[in-house]
Amino acid sequence: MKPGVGMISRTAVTAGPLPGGAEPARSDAMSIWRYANPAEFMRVSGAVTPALTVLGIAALFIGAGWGLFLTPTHYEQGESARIIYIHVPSAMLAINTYFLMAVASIIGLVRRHHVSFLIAKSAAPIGAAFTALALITGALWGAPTWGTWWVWDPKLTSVLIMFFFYVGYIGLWNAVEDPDKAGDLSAVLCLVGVVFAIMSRYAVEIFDGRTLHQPASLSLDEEENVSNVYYLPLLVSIVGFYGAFLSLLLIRTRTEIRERRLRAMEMRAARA
Amino acid sequence: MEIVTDMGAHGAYIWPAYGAFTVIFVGLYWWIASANAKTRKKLEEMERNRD
Repeated sequence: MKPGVGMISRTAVTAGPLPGGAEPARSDAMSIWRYANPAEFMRVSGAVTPALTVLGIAALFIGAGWGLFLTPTHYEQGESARIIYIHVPSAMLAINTYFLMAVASIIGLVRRHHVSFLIAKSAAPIGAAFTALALITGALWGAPTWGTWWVWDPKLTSVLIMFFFYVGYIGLWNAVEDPDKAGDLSAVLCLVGVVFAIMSRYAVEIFDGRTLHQPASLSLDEEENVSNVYYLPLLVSIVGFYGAFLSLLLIRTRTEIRERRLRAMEMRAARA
Repeated sequence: MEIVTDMGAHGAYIWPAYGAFTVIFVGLYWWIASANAKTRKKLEEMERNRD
């Protein structure tokens, strides 16, 4: 590819000064903030995304396939325990994606890095999809195990409200035309919703076991952890989900950076 | 290690769960990859025209 075609040049992404000012200083060379430079982000993400995609998808299908077909029947839950290999990783990602969006939003608000806002924006539809998957697989696990598809349990309800925050966040980004204002407003909305991400993660502990939802399947305490025969495929599946998530996030953020560049070029052309 | 394919009565819940997983995952990848390819192509064209 000819240099500069389809690639993001060091100074070109916003068709103006780089976010946060000029070129990164030499002393920033080892700092994580250099990835706030869209050109640097595009360079690094372009290099790691293909390998991450292949490894993530491979681990995901090995983990899910292992759990679905090769694990023994659970003595208590029966065959329905096979749903945990997709339910647990999707629920973990649903919550952790929201935390990632919150951190990226804070960085965006405080340091005014456009890439941070774009990472949060890119993570939202992925997080919403994983939240929907966690809710669907949770209902499909709950029906044979609890005898009901849904209960207004603190954990389940928090996850549902978090899903609505995802949808609201995506809607707000799309509703506001000015991208800077959209970034600021949706970052604030994201931070308001963090309470439901915390509740989704810690409801069982906060309500001291007075919830229908069971405690976390994975624990650092070996006594509390699930048996190895279930733990290993679950771990592979989780690694796969996270790998696939990172690959999706990087691809989506690269698209957002390019779209921003396109908008800037179109506006400049319209002015000329 | 035995390969289990007969999920009994719970199959009615397990297969739809894995079906939802496949649909959501494939759909997400397709949407994100196609949007990326489209934007990249548009940007390439615009930069070529500018040159």
